[in-house]
Amino acid sequence: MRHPGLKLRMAVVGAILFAFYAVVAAVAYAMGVPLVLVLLGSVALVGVQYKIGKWSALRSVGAEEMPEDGRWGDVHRRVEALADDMGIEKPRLMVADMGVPNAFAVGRKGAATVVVSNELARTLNDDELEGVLAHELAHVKNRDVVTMVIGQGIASIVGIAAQWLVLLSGDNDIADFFLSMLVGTAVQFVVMLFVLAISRYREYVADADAKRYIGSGEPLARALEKIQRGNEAPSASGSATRQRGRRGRGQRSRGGQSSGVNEQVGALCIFDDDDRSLVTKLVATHPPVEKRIARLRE
Amino acid sequence: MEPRTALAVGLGAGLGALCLARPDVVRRLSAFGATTPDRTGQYGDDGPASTRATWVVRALGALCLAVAAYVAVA
Repeated sequence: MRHPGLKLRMAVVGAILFAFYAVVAAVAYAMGVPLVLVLLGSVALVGVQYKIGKWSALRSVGAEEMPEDGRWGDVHRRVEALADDMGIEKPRLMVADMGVPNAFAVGRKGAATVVVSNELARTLNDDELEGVLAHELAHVKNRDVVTMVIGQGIASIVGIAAQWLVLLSGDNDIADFFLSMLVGTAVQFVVMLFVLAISRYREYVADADAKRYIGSGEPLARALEKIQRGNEAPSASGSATRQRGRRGRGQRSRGGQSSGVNEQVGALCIFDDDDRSLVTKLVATHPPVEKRIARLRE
Repeated sequence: MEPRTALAVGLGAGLGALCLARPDVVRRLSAFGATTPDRTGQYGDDGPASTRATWVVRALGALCLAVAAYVAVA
């Protein structure tokens, strides 16, 4: 079994999340709400969150279809090869100007979209970009987006249930309305702490899968380092540096384009994860970059 | 003051203060609208909250404190 430690931790946190949901379902059932209705309502809420989340994510960054020519043509081919290796359908590829080097995956296995920022493509060389894409494809393969939506759906459902419990047990005055909203919010925050813990574990798993399918963790480790530094010299962008079948590890393109990462972004890149407060660590969606790099190079 | 009212005032003051002091934490802990946190910030990092989102959370925090104060004196 791959990643046994991470999977055990995810299983424990997942069981706690399910327990939250089971308590809500049991209370609703005890109050006379049919279990089928509880399940249908839950599925509907998660479905709506999934659809809205995907739509708003693509819209918020102004994502456009990734061209098939030039450098992007090679990205298409590399993603196709990686998807084939991972046994998933090639996701839809899009590009966007996000102002910072970034990439993310949305959607589910079979209907996923991976968005790459132009800034990321300018910052990384071919192999590093492939490492990032392998990480995003691993998210798709592991159904991480759907898992997160389900986790957030459970947080919403538990929060709403807590709100109604307080509301129905009170006198319906303004203090009770206020208290119900506060309790619902607080309970949702507590459940979200577990969802965010799962998110951090799944980043490690996606890193390990990217390392496995690429054959080395070095390209992704270098990409993370380069993005963290923010001002690294970028790669050559021309398609001449890329050829299908040249997926040999360790072959890097070189170039002298400016990275396009401005000073503000550069400042954002400089952070020390060891200085993060406990609260910041608890609400982080990603593990510390240093730890990820160390694991990728193990 | 009734226990439920006192709890409402206490929780309201706490949540309001959290919204004002750490809007980033409140945003991350909000289940709605957080399905793709990766889309903000740079790759591998938790994205910073947008200025608008930060001020919306702070405004909600101020509203929360105001309602808590009203419930306390009412």
